[in-house]
Amino acid sequence: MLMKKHLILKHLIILSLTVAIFFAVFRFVSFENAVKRREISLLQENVLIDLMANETQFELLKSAPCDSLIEGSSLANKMDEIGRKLTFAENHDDNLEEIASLKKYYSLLEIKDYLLSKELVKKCPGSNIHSIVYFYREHCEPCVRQGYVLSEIKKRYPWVRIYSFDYDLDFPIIKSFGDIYHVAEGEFPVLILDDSSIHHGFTSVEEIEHAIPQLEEEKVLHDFVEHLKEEEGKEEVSIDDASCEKEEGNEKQVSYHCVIKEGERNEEYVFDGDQFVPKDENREEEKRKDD
Amino acid sequence: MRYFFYVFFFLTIYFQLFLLFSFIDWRKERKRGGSKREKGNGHSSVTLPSVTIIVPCYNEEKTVEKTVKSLLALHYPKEKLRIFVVDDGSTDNTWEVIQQFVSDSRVRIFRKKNEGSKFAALNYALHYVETDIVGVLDADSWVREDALIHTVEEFLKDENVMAVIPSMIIADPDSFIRKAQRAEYEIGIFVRKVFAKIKTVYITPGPFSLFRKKVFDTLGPYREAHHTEDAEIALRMQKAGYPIAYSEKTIVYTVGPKTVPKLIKQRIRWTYGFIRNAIDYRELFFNKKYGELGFVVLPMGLFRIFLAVFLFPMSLYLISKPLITQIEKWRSVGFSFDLPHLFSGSIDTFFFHLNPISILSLLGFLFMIISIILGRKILREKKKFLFLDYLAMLFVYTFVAPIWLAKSLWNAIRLKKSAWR
Repeated sequence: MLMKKHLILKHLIILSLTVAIFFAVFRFVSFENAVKRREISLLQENVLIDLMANETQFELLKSAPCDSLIEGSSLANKMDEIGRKLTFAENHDDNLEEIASLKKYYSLLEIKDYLLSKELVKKCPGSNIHSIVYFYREHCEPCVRQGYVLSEIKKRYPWVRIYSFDYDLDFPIIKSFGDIYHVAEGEFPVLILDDSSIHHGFTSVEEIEHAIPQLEEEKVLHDFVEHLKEEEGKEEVSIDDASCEKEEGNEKQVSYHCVIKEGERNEEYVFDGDQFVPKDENREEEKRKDD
Repeated sequence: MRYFFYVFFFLTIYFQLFLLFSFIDWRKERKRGGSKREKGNGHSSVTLPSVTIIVPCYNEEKTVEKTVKSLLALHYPKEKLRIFVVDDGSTDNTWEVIQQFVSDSRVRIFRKKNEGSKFAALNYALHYVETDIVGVLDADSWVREDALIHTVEEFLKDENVMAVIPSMIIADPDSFIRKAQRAEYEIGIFVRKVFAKIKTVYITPGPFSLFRKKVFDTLGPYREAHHTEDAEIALRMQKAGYPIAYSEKTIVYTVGPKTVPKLIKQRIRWTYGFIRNAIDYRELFFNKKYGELGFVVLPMGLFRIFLAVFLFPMSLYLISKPLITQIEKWRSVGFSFDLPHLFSGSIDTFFFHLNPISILSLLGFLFMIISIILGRKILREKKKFLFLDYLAMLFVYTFVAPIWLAKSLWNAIRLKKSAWR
């Protein structure tokens, strides 16, 4: 009898320990979720501020010079972060109610930012603003792959502004926005490239690159500025002072002729598809080869 | 589906804590009773009992020589050791190979017609056993020189002990599957120690389990028992209240199946046998008389089989999901390899996703490591920790074990049905 009592006590201790472990784990997870919720509501506040900033930008559009406008309108990076967090939260914590509300605010901000960028393009024709509007739905297999494609586009051309909209979100503004492009009349996903070409169904990276041909040249320009900043320590160069032009001639080997304004002087570089070489050195090398 | 995982983890953690608790308990007892037991040591050869070891062999021409030679090399008085080699109707050269031992006074060889199961060969030899202690050594195993003396010590220490089981080690594993088994057996040491401590050993393995002859005289000979006579006799002893001890210092080397199909075949035999024997001895389950054996150890053993069968597709899905996503990605944008966010420098805690299941798996893993460490302590293992073996074991347990578990379960259910008709 004593033996039995001892056993029962032992198992009671083990049982309560197991329950305690489970309790601790669940408490910890719910604590983590609470932290996440707080972070989401913080994001929401940021989105609200951005919305107001966007309003102001519209007002400024009438009088401010183009350069400062384009610089200032780059909500794109911030929006990116929110977008990534939204996607992650959507995939992992389906039970967070806060997400749906944040998504609405985010969609609203996207639409406003998109309209602003359209105005900017109108007012400042030289600006290299490119946009991709993307409509997706839940339970749409090609949409998943389209998401990967757009991530890849963002990786290759970070300055492209991608606006994605969940068409199934219970938010009438998205529907009216979609109606402008007759989104509902074809299959999903839907892409609107640079406000002009509408693509229904899965669109590959190559097709997008083909539809926005300027991307290739702009990529060289961005790489050029990056090269100047990182390799040659010219921190203060601005993309507006640089320019790159495709050199006609040799069909097989693509080469670009890039110029950077530095005070009075113009520095010239040649890009051969692999690296940037200052033009003078290039000539000397050629001479040496000739000798 | 999520709740299914929770139930699984709850029971697993309960069981692991139960093992640890039982183990810690034992340590305290040993400290108290230590000095008393010391007196039992240092017995002269006069007090040593006579022992018979039965070596049943069926087509084991390659390994039987090593097995018998290891028995002959045992540190034990010559006149007190008898070795019965039983050729169970082998169709190869086993009979010729064992002829070389005839000249040794300790060895006696038998030849009988094969009847399709090992238990018949064992019972055949049991007829001729005249010693108080009798044991079995499978022809694919061999013993260390001090194995027998350590086992006999356990019998001498406590006259109530009716059987003693050994520590089994996979010798020189030469294949992936054998390496996995070495790790598995190493973990098994800890579990065995705990089971022996709380008197819930429910298997007396074929390699070098020794019994008092009284067990067979009172409970009857071996039974067919679905080809797992070594599990059946242990359950029968449990039912009769015969204590089974464990001698961790008794080291037996065994080889283990070399390939996946052979391992699966062996394990189906074991698992199927366990299920069927559990059904035959169902009165042990949840019976107050049998304490922790009936309430925890046996039900957990059965539950594990059921669960693994269902958990397998789930875990496979969880493992393959990220892989499928990656393939989808490559299909959409072309092959590229980008490093995860971890390496990009900026880590945002937002992207750490914690769910109860991943934390609980981590805990389960931790418990496994603790049992490995304790098992090695029991064996006083000084060899290097074989990390790769454990990886191999995890692999085998994730991908291969469910196959034999499912097949055994299926066989058991089917046979049960046909038996009813």
